[in-house]
Amino acid sequence: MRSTLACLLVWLAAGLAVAAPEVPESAVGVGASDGDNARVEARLYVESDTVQPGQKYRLGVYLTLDRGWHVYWRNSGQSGIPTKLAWTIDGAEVGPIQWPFPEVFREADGFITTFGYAHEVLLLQDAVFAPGVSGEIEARVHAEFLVCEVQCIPGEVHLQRTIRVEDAPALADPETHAFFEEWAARVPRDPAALGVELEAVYSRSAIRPGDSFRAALAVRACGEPGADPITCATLRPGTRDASSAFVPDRIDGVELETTGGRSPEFLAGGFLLTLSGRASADPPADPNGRLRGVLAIDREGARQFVEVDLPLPRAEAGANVLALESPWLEPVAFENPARDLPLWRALLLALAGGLILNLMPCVLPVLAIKVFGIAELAHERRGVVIRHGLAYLAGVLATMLVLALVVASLRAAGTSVGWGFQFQEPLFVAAVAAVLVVFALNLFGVFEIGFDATRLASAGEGAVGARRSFFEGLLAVVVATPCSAPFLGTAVGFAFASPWPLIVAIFLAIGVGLALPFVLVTLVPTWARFIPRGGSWMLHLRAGLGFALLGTVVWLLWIMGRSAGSGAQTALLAYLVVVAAGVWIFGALQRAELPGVARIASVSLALLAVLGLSTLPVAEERPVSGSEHAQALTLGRVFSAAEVDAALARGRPVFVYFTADWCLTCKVNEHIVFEDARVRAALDERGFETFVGDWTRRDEAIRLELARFGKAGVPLYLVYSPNAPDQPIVLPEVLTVDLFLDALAQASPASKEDTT
Amino acid sequence: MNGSIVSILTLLLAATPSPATVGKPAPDFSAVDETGATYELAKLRGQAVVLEWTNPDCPFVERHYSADTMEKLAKTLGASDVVWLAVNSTHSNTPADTKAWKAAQGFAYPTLQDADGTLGHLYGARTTPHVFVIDGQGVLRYAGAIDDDPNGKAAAPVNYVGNAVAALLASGAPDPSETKPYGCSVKYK
Repeated sequence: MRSTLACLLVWLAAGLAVAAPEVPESAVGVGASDGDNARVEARLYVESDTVQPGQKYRLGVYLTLDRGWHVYWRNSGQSGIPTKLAWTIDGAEVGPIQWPFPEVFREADGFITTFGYAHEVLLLQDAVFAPGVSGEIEARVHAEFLVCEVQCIPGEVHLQRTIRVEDAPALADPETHAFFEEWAARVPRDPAALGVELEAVYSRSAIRPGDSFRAALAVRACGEPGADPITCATLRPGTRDASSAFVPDRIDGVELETTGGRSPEFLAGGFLLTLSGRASADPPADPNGRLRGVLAIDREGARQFVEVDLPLPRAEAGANVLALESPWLEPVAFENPARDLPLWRALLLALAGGLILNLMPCVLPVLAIKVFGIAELAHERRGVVIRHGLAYLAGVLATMLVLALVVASLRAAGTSVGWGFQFQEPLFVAAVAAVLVVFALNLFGVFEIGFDATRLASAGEGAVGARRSFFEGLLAVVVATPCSAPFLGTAVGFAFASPWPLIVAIFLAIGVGLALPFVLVTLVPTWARFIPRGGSWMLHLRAGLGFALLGTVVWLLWIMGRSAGSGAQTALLAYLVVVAAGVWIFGALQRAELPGVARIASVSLALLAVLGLSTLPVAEERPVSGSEHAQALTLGRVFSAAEVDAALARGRPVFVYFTADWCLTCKVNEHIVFEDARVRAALDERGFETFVGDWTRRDEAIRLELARFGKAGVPLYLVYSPNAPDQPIVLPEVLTVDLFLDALAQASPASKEDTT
Repeated sequence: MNGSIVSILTLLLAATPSPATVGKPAPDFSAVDETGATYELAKLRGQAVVLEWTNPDCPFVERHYSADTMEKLAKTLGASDVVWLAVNSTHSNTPADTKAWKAAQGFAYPTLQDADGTLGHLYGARTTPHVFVIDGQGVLRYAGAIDDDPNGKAAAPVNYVGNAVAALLASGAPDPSETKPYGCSVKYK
C-alpha cells in the first residue's frame, strides 16, 4: 500500500459498514511489489483467539488492493491466475475457500473477460481441530495471487498467528464476527436453501469435443412444490449488467459466455440467461459433465447469490447427437433503451432537443448575436429577411451534416466517438476560440464581413450579408454540441447506435430544431413593429455582445488549461493575440478602402492563422493523469464499474455522474445542484457512494457506459439503489435540487424507515 | 419464422472469418517481423509452425525467458525444421522494442509485429504467453499454455508445446490439444 493514510482515506470515503478489525503484526503482509509500492496488503483473520476441538471455526484472508488493481476468482476467466491459499495448521482440517460472488472484468472491448475482485476481498475457510488437540497452535497461510491493472504482478504473502486450542466453548470476537458475516453474505449458497430453482437447456442433446452450442439458464423461485396457489417471486439479474449475473466455473474444456437475458412470461416472475459455449477438441475427463458457476439474483429488492450445478450432457467425438430447438434458446440481446426507439420518435426527439438546445447555456452567446441580427434586420425588406433566415438554416444544416459524416467516417475507421467529441481535441478548442475572437472583433467594428467598402458607412444600421447568417449558423452548431439537452440525449444516443444514414437524419433533425425559432421569426412579418428604429443603441448593443463572446473564449481557455496544461493555455492566449492583431491589420486595410489589398491580406492572414494553429503545442501535452484530474472535482471518486458493483454489493446506494469540462450543462448542474448544502447532507446521511466519470478527454470505458444507457454524450446521472442494482434511476440532463433529492430518497435503503 | 431467421444468422456467421479452432485449418496471415521481413502462413506448408504470443513487460514471459524455456525449445525444434514465430500484440510495442528485447535475451527467432492486434484477434490470443501449434498441412493442432506450471513452482513441468510438436513430428496427435493459457492478458489497443 502506498501509505496507510491513503488506505484509511479510501475506507472513510467508502464508508464501509464493517471496517476490517485490527490483527497482530505477524498476520499482516504485503505482496506484488511494484517499484517501492506493494499492490496488495493481506491480513489473516480468525473468528476468535481460542477454539474448542471439533468445533467449526472460520479463518479468513483479507486482501486489499490498490485502486484499479484486481485479483482473480477460482476461475480467472480468459487470462489471469486463480488466487491460492495454502494452510499449515497442526491438527486441523481446513475446508475449501468460500469465494464471494466475483466481478466480471472486460478488456480490449470485451475480447478478454476475466473474473475476480477489485478493491478488497475476504476469503473465508472453515477449519476443524481434531479431538485431543490442545495448547498454542500456529496457523500459517501462504497466499499466492496474480494482481493486474494493465500490467500484472505475481505476488505471494506468508501470514501467521497463534490460536489457543482448549476444551472450553470459544466466544467469537464480535467485531471479527460481524466482518466475517458481511462477507459470508456474498458467498453463493445452495439454490435449494434459498428456494430458487435452476434449469438448463442446450441446443444439442449432448456436447461433443469441438462442438459449439447455445444454452439457456432459467431461474425461478416459486415456493414449495405442490403448494396451492403457486406464488412466484419476481426475480431479476442481480448485477448492474445482466451479462455479469452468471459467472461460470472452468468446466472441463468448455468456454461459456453470457449473451443475453430476458424475463419471459412463461417463467412466472423468473428470468432467463442465454449462453453460448464451445467445447475443446479434447475428450472430457469426466463424461458426465456439469454446468457449474455462480449466479447473482435480485429477489424483490434483496440480493441473493446461488451456486449453479446442473447437468451438462457430454458425448464422444463423432457420436450422433440431436440438435434441439427451444424458445428458451433464442438469443435475445439485453435491452438497449435507445435502440428500441421507433425512427419517427427519434426524429421528433431530435427536433425537440434541437429546439430546447437554444435555451442551454452553451448556445446563449451565439443566440444573443442572432437576436441582435434580428433587430438589425427589423426594417429590411421582407425578401432580404427571409434570405437571412434561410442562410442561417443552411449554415446550421451544413455544419450538422459535416459533423454527422465525420462521426460516421470515424466510426467506419474503427474509432467510436460521442456527442461533443470534437471538444476532446485541444486543437479544435483552440480553433473555436480563434473564431470567437475574430467574431467579437467584428462586433466591435474592427472590420466588416464582406468587401463592399461603401457599406462601411452604414455599419450597424444597414444589412449585413447572408454569408454572415450562414456563418452564424455554423457557429451556433459548433458551440451547441458540448451541451446536451432534455430529449437530445436519447435522440443522439439512438443516432450513435445506428447506421450512418440515420446518424445524418438525426443530426439534420437536431439542426432543424436548433434553427427553427429564428427561421420562424423571419417568416412572420409583424414582429418588426416591436423593434425600435436603428441608431447608436445598436452599436452599443453590438459591442456588448462582443464582450459576451469574449466571455465564451475565457471558458474555452479554461478547458484548454484543464485538458492540456497551463503551457498550452498560454500558447493559445498568445495565438489569440496574434490573430487579433492580424484582424486589426485587415480592418485597417478595409478602412483605407484598398479592397484588393484587403482581399490578399485576408487570404494570407487566414493561411497564417491556420499555420499558427497547427503548430500550437497542445496535442502532445498530457500533464494530469485521470485520477489527479479527478481530485480537482468537487464530488466523488473516479468512476470504475467494478467499484460501483462492489459498493452496491456492500449494500450502499450509489450515485454516478458523467461530466466533462467542456460540457456547460454539466457544470451548471454541478454548481447549482451538487454544491447545494441540502444535497451534500442528503448524500452523506443516506450513505451514498459517489463516482464521477470525467469525459473531458476520450475514454473508451466511459463511452461504453454511456452507450449502455443509450446515450452518446454527457451529462448522465445515475442513482443506484442496492436493492435494484440493475435498474438505476436515470435523471434528466437538467437537474433541480428537489428532483435530485427525491431520487436519492427513492434509492436509499433507509427510505422505508423514513416514512414511519 | 424464428427458425429461419436463426438459420440465416448462422449462415451469416459462417461467412465471416471464424476464429482459430483446434482441428480446423489455421487462419492464414501475412505479417512482418521486427526487421520488416514478411511471413505468410500459406508459404510455410510442409513445416510445423509455432506461434508464441509474447510481451516482454509481462512477468510470466519474463520468467520463461530468464529460464530460457522458449529459446531452448525453439532451438531444439528448429533442428527438426519447425518454424518458431513469436508474436507481440501489445499496442505500444515497436520493432525497436523487440530488437532491444531480442538483444538482451539473445534468441534467434523473429517476432511478428502486431501492435494493432489483427493477428491476435484472428487467433483469439488472450494471454502472454499463449501458444498455437500448426502442422505441415496448415491445420491448427494445439492451442493453450506453454506448460502446466502457471506459478513456476513445479520441479519438472510438462511442456505442452514441446509434447505437441513431438507428437506431430511422430505423425501422432497432440494430447492435450487444448489447455487453458495462463499469464497476463494481451495488452490490445
